Amino acid sequence: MVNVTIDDRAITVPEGTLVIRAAEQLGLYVPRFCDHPYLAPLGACRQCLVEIEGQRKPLTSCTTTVTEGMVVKTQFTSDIAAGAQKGVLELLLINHPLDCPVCDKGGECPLQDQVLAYGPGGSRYREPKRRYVKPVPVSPLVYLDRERCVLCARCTRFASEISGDPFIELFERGALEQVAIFEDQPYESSFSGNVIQICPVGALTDAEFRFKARPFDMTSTPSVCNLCSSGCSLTIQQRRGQIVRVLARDNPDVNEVWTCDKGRFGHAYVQRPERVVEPMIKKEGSFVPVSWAEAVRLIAGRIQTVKANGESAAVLAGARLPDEDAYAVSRFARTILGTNNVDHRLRRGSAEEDAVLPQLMHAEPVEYETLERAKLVVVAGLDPREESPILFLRLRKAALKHRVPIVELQPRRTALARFGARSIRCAPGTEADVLLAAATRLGERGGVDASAVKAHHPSVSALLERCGADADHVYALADLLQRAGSDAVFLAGERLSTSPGALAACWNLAAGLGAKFARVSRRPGAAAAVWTGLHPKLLPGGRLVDNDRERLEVEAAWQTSVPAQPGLDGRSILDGASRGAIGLLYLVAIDPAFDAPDSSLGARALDTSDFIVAHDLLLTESSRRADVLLPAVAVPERAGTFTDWEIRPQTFSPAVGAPGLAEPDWQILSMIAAELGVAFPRSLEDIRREIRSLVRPQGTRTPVLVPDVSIPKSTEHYPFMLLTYPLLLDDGTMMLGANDLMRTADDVFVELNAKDAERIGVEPGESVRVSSQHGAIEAPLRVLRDLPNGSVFIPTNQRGTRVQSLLDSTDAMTFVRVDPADAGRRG
Amino acid sequence: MTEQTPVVTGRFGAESSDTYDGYTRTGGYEGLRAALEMSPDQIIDMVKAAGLRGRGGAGFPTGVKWGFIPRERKPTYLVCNADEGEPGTFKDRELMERDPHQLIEGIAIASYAIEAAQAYIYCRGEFAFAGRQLERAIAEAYDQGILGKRVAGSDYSLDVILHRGAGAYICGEETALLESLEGKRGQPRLRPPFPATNGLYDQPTVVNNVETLSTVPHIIKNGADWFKQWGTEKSPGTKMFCVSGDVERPGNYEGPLGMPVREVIDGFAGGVKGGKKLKAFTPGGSSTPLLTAAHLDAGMDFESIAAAGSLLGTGAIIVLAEDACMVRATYRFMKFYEHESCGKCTPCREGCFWLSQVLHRIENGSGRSEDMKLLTDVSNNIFGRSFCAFGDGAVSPVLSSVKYFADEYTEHIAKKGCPFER
Ligand SMILES: Cc1cc2nc3c(=O)[nH]c(=O)nc-3n(C[C@H](O)[C@H](O)[C@H](O)COP(=O)(O)O)c2cc1C
Ligand code: SF4
Ligand code: SF4
Ligand code: FES
Repeated sequence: MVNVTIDDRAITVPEGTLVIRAAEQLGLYVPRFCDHPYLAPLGACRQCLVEIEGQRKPLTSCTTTVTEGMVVKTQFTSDIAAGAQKGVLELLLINHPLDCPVCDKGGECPLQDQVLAYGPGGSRYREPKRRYVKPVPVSPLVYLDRERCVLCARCTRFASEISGDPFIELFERGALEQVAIFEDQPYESSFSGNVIQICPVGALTDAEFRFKARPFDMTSTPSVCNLCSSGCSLTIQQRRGQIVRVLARDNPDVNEVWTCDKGRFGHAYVQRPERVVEPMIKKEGSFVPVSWAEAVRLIAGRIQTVKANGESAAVLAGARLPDEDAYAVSRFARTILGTNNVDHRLRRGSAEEDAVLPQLMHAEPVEYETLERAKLVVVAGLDPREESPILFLRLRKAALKHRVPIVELQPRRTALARFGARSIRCAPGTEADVLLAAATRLGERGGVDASAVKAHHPSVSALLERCGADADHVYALADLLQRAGSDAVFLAGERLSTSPGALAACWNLAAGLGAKFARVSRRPGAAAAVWTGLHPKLLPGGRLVDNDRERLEVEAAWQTSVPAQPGLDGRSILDGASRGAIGLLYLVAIDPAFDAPDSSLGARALDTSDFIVAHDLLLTESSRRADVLLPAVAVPERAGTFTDWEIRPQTFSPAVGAPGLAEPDWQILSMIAAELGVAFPRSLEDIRREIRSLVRPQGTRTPVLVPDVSIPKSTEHYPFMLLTYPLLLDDGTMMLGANDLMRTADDVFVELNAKDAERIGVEPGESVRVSSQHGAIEAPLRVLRDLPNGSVFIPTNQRGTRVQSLLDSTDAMTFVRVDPADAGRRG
Repeated sequence: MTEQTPVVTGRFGAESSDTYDGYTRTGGYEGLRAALEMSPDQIIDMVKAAGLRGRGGAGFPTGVKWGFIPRERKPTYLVCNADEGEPGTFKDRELMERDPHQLIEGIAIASYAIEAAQAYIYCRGEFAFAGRQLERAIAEAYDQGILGKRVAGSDYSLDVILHRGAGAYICGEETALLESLEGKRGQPRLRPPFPATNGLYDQPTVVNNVETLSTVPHIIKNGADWFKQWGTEKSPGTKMFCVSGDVERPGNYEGPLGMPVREVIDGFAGGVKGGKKLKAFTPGGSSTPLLTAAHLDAGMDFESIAAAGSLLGTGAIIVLAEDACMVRATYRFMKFYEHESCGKCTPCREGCFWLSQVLHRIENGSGRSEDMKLLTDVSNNIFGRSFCAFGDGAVSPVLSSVKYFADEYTEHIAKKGCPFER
């Protein structure tokens, strides 16, 4: 610790503290432009000059670290500091257009505020000001006004230090220095909105927010992002009931001060005219608005009939529900519908997943901060930049600032590799082989508990042969794991659950090392879905349906019985429905007709179901097939909690009112329970109390059985293994209305490696036809170096394609053929 | 006419001194051979004992700089600053054109002393001929076993890489130079950390001027005491003085540090052109405050020039005769700084832009009575407040000309134009 005196007040701060930060701790605000707590010190704007005893010249407080006994005088006690700051402000303004009355930043502008507080009253500059063409679009989302820019380089440093995108740079020199984009490199960033927020003047403005409102005309509400599982803290700003802007809110534990463009610009769906705003009943093929009372009565009646006839009911609920709703749905299924047929997945479950999921809540939590202190981070089956952008930023920081080694294990190299993550690439579906090979190697050297590797699997060389991964890379991973031991962190994407044996192998390896393990899903409610029991075998708290003691704990809390037999998983529910075996299909915030990983199953299931209830915000492929459609409120319109991938719960409150008669999902379920006269929580607080009482203490982790998988082989006719997952900006319903944002989205593409592309005889950019036994799609080809031979990647849900048409949910792996598009037509 | 004291310029007259043969014939590479017999620390001690100070402008003791290099962190780099952009300065160019092997020898000795296996020469891009000379000499040195594996038959290996600049004055500032050498925008870096610990590619690095390095072989060959026979106690040795402007014989002249300014101008350069009186001069390039006829007896060494109120800088004397317009001269200097400011920091970027417009206005008849205060205020907001030393240098001509020639400014403003003939 170091003792310093600032403006005659003593303070003790840790060594290495910057003078500007020490002053802040005393409540002394030194004006600044280039300084930013999350960017490296620059010292360029010179606004923060202070007087330091013993120094000839005033020094920049944002670059000077404290030393023992240092005596600092800021503008509050030093004429030299005040004069220097005034001088810099005068210089900053000579070329500034002073167009505050028409500038978006007015009212929240550090330049405006600091000139008012410390600046000169007028300007002595009489010459013509520097003029530029303005505004210039930096991207569809961000506009640049170079005349207002104070050249603080916050934006360019964000691009190079934080997001690492070839985004914006400073060009030219002297008074002509200016922010610009590279003409020969495409603009590409998922984080561009951050530069608008950190620009200390109105030089970078928000394409959508421009000229919409003044800061003092808006009401701000703290919120949590509901567009992925990163858990960003946001501020939602509304004016006259309309959301006009979304900002990242400081949260050092989670998103620091950043958010991704989807979280910032992707909330247009909330206030669209397409919203479902009143309960509706299907009559003769079309929806007719009804009162809540009538809708609820109809549903209650149907529930009674189904139960009386011994028909089965089933619930599918999206992994985008807040915790309270997920819990309410889980309880509703068990206590009102009397079934364990409930799932948040539309795919098949597996024994290994069933064994790992209930243990997830017991594991020592991985937090964002854990990543910076880890000795190794293994990322498997997860593309963080596309699936959890803020996790991507934190991994980048861990790697670059804290030198944490990162190894990614996936068929397709991701953006992690751009900052030095090592990529181990394997054929889609063979992730388990790589993990088992590394574990075996580690086991041979005593680097891991033997129980983690005991199994019936083939030798290391056979495993390596099968997955096609580079042996050196796998051995290097084993070495890194041995060195990191319990300081390793495994980040397992939800996709790992769909690669046979991979989740189990990953879990066991972590357990064997005593290392930390986290499951990262794309959807914001995935952790809660598991935890609250939106799963046919799990009850709240990861309790097992078929474990009497555990089920009894839940029954005691609910004071009613719960069926003891595990229910059907998502795919089996759809199967059952398509055979007409489900008497009541209850859908909450989910769209099986569109999203089920199958060419036709989702739609078939819904078309054959007798009676479908759906809660939704919008008309989707599924909700339009419902018999009763109930209007749900969107996240910014309600209170709730989201538990992010770290298992960190964060609550939020309503920022705007809900349209029409829309209600929160839990409230709708509560109304139905009331109609039936069955006990059910009546308030958000009731639900939260129940959730708290069902939290279970942490237990120990036990290894799970790794299935002995035989991986199906490609055939001559379908020689390619398909990998598919959605990119950050996909064509999902939630992106409705976010038009500028969607202009930054990738067009659909099909990815092959160069060798395979050559074999087929197509050049990048040419159209290819990808077909399976179930269907075909066409899209332009892209070449990705070192995608494994015989593998093809297609983003799941890019505008204009439906990869689902190639899939059959009974297959563990999908094999396709790829041909030049015109060949298909000729043939 | 005053006799020169040729040390670094010693071979300028000799036949084919720019070739390996010519160079070795005149005792070249003997310093290197002697150095390779010594330990790196012995070399550093010797350079310290000689009191050699950097010739790039700041006058930092060279041996001390080398001694800062941590021995345990490898690789280390030597970078030769051959960007010579300071107006009025042209000594490094002549050294490279006429005696490139002398520089290579100095580089090899310095690299050996700091245990660097790679050295870079950052040569001003406009110096086309100097660049070609260096390129050729480096190739010769490789052929002759002076560079590359086993330098001059020793166990030491060294590669020397020539890099040409792209035309920015700021890239002569050592940290901007390093940025540029790494392929980034040429803008200065935050210090600390200093290049000695975090220089090129974040590794320990010494940056030395061409003249500094060219002096080193002579010290190693002849010893510290030999070097100290010239100059003053604190500024020992000889130095090249670049004389330009209104003099009879502009050019480079070598003499002992501490010799009076008057002798450099009159004795070496033949006095002010046409027998006119001297009005002002820069002692060390355009970035050093102007001095006047009253300072002609000051010694050309770091201490005496500082005592006179300026800086020795690069030892570049630009002479302005009695009929020169100081406002116009200052404007021309400022136009240079406005153009060359890198743009990183507010005071220099905006201030130079502003000052040059005000000076232009005064010179062209639109001066206002408040302009002199404005010039001083703006200059004072740049001086000591900018990110790097460029800012201080840029306002030196303004502050010094306003100080010594206020009446010329007043006359311009009152008469609404320049009273001097063009
Ligand atoms: C704006 C600016 C320009 C400079 N230009 C040069 C230059 O062209 N050549 C040079 O040797 N030093 C130049 N310097 C000085 C270098 O930063 C550095 O001090 C010098 O290269 C160190 O070498 P020395 O110790 O041998 O003098 C410049 C400094 C500043 C502030
Ligand atoms: S655009 Fe904004 S953030 Fe970027 S340099 Fe200019 S003032 Fe700074
Ligand atoms: S003083 Fe500032 S703008 Fe000028 S050259 Fe140095 S860093 Fe660049
Ligand atoms: S805030 Fe300190 S120099 Fe910019």
